[in-house]
Amino acid sequence: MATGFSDSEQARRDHLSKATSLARKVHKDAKEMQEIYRQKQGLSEEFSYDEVDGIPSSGVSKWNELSDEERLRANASAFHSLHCFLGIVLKEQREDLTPEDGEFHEALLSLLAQVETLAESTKQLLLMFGHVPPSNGISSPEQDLTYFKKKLRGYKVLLELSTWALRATRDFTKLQKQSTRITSTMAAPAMRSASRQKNQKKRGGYGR
Amino acid sequence: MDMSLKQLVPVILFLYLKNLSSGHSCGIIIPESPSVELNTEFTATCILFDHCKLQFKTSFAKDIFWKFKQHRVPREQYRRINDSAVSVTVNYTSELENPLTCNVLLYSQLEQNIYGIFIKSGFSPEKPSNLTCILYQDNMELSDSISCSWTSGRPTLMPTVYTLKAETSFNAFRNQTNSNSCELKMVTVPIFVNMVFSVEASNVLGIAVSDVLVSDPVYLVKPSPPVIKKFIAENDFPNYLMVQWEHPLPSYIMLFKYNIRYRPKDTDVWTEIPENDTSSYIQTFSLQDLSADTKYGVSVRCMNSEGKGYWSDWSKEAFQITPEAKPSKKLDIWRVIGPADASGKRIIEAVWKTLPHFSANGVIKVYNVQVESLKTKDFFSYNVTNTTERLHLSEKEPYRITIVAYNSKGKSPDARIVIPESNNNTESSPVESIVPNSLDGQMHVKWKANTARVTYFVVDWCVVSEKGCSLVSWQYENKSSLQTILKGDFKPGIRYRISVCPVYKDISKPCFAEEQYFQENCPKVGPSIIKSKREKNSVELEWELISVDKLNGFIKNYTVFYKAAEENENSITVEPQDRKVTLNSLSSNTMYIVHVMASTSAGGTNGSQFTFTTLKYAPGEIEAIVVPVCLCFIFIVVIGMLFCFNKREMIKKHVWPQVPDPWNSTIANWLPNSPSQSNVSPKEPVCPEGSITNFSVIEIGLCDSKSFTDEYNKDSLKKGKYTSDEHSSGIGGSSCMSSPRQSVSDSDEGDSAQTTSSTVQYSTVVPSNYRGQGHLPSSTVFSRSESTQPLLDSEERPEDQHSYGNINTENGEHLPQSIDQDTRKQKGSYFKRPKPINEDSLLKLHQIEIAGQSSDSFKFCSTEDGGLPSSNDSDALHVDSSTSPGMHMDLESSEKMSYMPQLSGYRPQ
Repeated sequence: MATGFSDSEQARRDHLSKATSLARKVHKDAKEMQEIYRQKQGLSEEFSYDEVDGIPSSGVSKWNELSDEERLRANASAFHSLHCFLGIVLKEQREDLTPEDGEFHEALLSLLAQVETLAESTKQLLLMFGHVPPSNGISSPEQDLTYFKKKLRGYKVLLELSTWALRATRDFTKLQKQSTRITSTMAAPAMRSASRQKNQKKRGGYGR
Repeated sequence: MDMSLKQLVPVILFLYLKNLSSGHSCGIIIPESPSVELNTEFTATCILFDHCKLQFKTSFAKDIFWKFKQHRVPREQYRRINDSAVSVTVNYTSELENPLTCNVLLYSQLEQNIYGIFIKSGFSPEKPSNLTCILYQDNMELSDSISCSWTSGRPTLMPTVYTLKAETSFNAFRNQTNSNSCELKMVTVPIFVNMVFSVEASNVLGIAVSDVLVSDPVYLVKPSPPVIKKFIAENDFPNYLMVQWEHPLPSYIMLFKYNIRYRPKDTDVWTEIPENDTSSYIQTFSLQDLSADTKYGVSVRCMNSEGKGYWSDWSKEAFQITPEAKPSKKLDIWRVIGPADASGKRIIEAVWKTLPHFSANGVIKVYNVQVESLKTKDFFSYNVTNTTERLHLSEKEPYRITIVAYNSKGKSPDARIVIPESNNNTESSPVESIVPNSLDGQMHVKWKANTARVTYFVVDWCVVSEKGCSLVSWQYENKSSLQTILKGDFKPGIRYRISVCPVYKDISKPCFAEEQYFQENCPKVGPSIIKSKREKNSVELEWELISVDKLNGFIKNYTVFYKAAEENENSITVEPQDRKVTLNSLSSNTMYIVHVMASTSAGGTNGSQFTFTTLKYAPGEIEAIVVPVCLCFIFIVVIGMLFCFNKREMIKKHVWPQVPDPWNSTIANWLPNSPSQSNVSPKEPVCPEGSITNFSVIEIGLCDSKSFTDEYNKDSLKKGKYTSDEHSSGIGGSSCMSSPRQSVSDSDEGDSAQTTSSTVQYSTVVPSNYRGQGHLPSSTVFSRSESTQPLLDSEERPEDQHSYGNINTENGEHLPQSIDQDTRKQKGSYFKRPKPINEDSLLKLHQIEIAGQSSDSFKFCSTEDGGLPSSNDSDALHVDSSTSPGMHMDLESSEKMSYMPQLSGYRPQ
């Protein structure tokens, strides 16, 4: 493929694109699952979920000041941690909260697999960009929670997952743009990455 | 002693072998359960166990042999390892049959199996190729399984397991199958991450792994077909339809490109919109330039916008009808011009074709017909609903006919044609010739024409029948095209008249026509012969013309087949324009069967058979025979007549002798009392020649009293005895003209003997009296008779009538009749003019008379008994019957006959 990119650059761009799409999908799925979870557990949006500890918070005040590596490392660490928390949430749903709702468990399991994939993809990106991925040593989630706190924590995990996925999408998109800009200055024809949303609902016509 | 040993050996051998077979195996084959790849070398080794070594006295290595089922393996393939182990090496093929056995031959004659193995054979698996994986869509999500398939290569002929593997950097999935397709089930198919797919084939003979397929599962997606939500028309845009659909998957999973196709519902031909126009992530599309008032179907499919993955199936077809529009094209019109009638008007039939749907753009509700005289500018118009209109227009004026079609949206462009005034065909056609030709199942037409003043050509064709030519269809052709293929349904066996008509500025010019068949068939019927003109050796035949409806083709020729009985059939060919033929060299007076066959290029059909018989004589041949014959006959007749005329006297004398009329007899003046006077015969001159004809003498005997008669005759002859010589000119002389009837001659015996041959016949009337009267009556009547006939008896004795067979037997009451009556009666009864007779007839007559007399003799007598007129009656002829009870005739006794004198006068009546 004569795109002007090196194989590694092409692979990185390709991986970055996939990670972006995946993060977007995880965001969508987590958002959807968050709503489903809230309804199933009868939770109110007005509840405060700040009481739940240990879950990596996506809220940052100086996001723009972070480097690409820092953002990637934060994403990688967060998704790894969220994967663990989501696994506990699934276990609690199966064992305690909604033991009869297999379909819900399947959906959580699917999201869990995607978070795992996203965590791995972010880790791969770090490696591709020459950075060292963070260690997986995190504090284990608190096990002896009350029933209500379990419900809250589950919701909190999905909420943070959704937010982290959206953040990752932005981070990866930013990296894509940077990569394209750098490459376009270095190589002749820049390969525009997908700006897919702009093409939506385009009306076409055909003359016979 | 020897005998006992021989008997013991089989027993010992049996017990020994029994011991061997019942114990443990004496050896083993290694490998024991081998699997062998076909067409490779295989080696097996047979090892003899130690406990059996002693039992085999002979050398094991020497006596061993290998067998595949019943077939021994050649010893060249054996290899001796040691005294108790021998191996065999074979190129193992599928022809070798299990089991492979190791055997020894005991005592050089007894085959003993040591061990056997069953070999599994086949091939090691080939490397699977063409690994493809598909991730299907499940509802609005991706499926949680990936389906993969591959090509496994040659059959391995043994159980082979295929293991499908899918691995990410952090996860791995696998599944096994015995076929060449498999499905990998996952919790959720990871997307946006590369996955490595591979398939591994393995059996006992080996393992083979396919090339890896590295792909993000999102690029393996075969999405579900898009669902069309809307397919709508806008009323003001009759050529426009809009289709709208839903994306099969959310955009965060994948983007799509689309493919759209549409078709009018009544066709199967799809029009596909180029991919470039629909490669973007769109949900609506406008179909343009469609036909108005047409039902269209549309279908959409999609795939990953990057072109990776698979096209979805086509969506379910949606339908919509475009709005109506006014007719887009003018009508296709033509005309048929009929002959003018006495009033100078002719029938112009304007015909037009219904607009095709794509031109009608809706339902045609009415046609407007406008007729304008280009001379008088008269104009009229009206609406019709059918596609023909018959107009009665003057042949002296040109007319312009304009037809317009209307639908709910408007009218079509004007379609015009100008009918020029009749010029009595003085105008020549610009078309010089046309050549219609049926070729390759189509009707081709070529023509030559002067196209200088031609706007376009109209080629029309009609079906020729006996009733005329009915228009079938027509088509327009550009002026530059001098040939075309007629677009119509042409049927075989139908004669078409194809015309090429030039049109100049809507004015139709004279046409040029030719007739042609699309395909000729045999005539439906054969010709029937309607006329024939037969001759002695020829015949001219004419047959009827076959109706054009039954011809089925152009007649190439007629063939006349004709055949006489038991002869070979002949034929003669006649040109199609001739319908008559003359068959020559025919046999005369012979029946021929003929039939005519009419032939087209497709074959011939025989007409009905016609049978005729040639004449026996040629015309004039009969006349040539008959006329000379007639002439000869006439000539002979004339000659004969002349001869007769010249010899008429002689002929008259012989053929028509003159018979004296008794009425005119002068005997009435003859005195009966003077017999001598009777010598003077008043009739003497009647016989001018005086020749004496032959006569015979009949003796009439009265009953049996011959003696009496003779006596009487003698007595009477004594009174007046005549000889014929003496009285040749007397009464007897008149008998020369008498009939051959014999008369009684009164003569002596000697005289009669002398005059038998040359005397005149005489009649003798013997008078009679009552029986028993002893005297002769004094009034004996001696009557003259010039004839030899016995008529005188009758004249004077009516009883004779009875005696001669008159059925009117009269009794005594009628007897006294006048002599006149008696005479007339007797004329009618007896006095017939005698025919010329010969001797034979004469003889016959004698016999008749004799018979009559003899048979009636008794009656004769009885009638006399009944009462006769008295002798005084002068008119009565008295016959003395007293002595003659019967009449006896004796030709031989003619000498006794005598001429009896007439006793009473004979008076003229």
